[in-house]
Amino acid sequence: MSCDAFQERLSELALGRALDAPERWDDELRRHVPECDGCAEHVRFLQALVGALESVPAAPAHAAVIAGARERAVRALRAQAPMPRFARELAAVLAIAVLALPLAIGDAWLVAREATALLSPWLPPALLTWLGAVYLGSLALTTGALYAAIPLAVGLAQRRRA
Amino acid sequence: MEAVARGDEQALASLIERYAARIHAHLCRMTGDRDDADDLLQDTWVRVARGARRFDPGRRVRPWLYGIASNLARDLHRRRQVRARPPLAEPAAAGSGPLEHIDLRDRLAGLPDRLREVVLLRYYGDLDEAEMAAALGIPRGTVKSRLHGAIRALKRTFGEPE
Repeated sequence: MSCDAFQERLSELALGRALDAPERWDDELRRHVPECDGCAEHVRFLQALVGALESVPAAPAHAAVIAGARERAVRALRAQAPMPRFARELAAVLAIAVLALPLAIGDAWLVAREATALLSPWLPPALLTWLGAVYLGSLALTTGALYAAIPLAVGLAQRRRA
Repeated sequence: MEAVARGDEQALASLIERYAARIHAHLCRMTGDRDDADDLLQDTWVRVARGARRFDPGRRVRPWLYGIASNLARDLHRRRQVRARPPLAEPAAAGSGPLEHIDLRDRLAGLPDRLREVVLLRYYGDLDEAEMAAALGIPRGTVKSRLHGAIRALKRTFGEPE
């Protein structure tokens, strides 16, 4: 093993607080260090480094700081709380029902165009518009309700299984 | 941690009780400033609360906490673009003076963040290479090379031949 490898091993021991515990050194290291000036010097450097690390001050945290941290963290945790089950299901129902809207509008537009062409000789435009609006509304409601039934059915099935 | 992920405030308070002092000490050493450490301690726990639901139960908690704290300290340094401690002094000439006359603490504080944090995490946080890799989100080999890079840099500024 090279001196570089021995010195890396010594550095690992120093940072693991085991430099002054020769029982944790392997045999090769124990034999090499006393015979090698470079590695012995490295040990002295590491001892000085450990001494310096031991003397780095770290002011203890005030109780008020920890209490403040706890308060902010708890508030953050509450803000992260998942939506109640009912709210989640309602949101899913509404989201899926809204998906039906473009379909209903597209369908109503097609039907209204054909119906207008067909019925315009016999019915006044105001009545045609009114009929179109009623058709669009009822179609949107029916399709939305059909779509919304999907998450409702899934939620019901999950509740039964639980 | 799983209890915290479920929104258990008491579990979060216990976690803070258990680790706040150690994390605060780590932040003090990373920033060199108690007020900064106080602020970052709060931010650390807020991040823990926000990230608890995404925490992988297979991971260990301690490296995760140290990782969050280290990232925050690094971000603070980056934002300020100034060091909390004076920059590295010019390397002393080889063999110039006994070890005790050289303040390794200042030299440690003058190391680049990426090198200093691995020394601090290893020595004070007692994290092994795998835990440091998890904490910092870097490969284990990078942790090892940073550790030895830090030792080499300290030794170089120490004025000793490598």
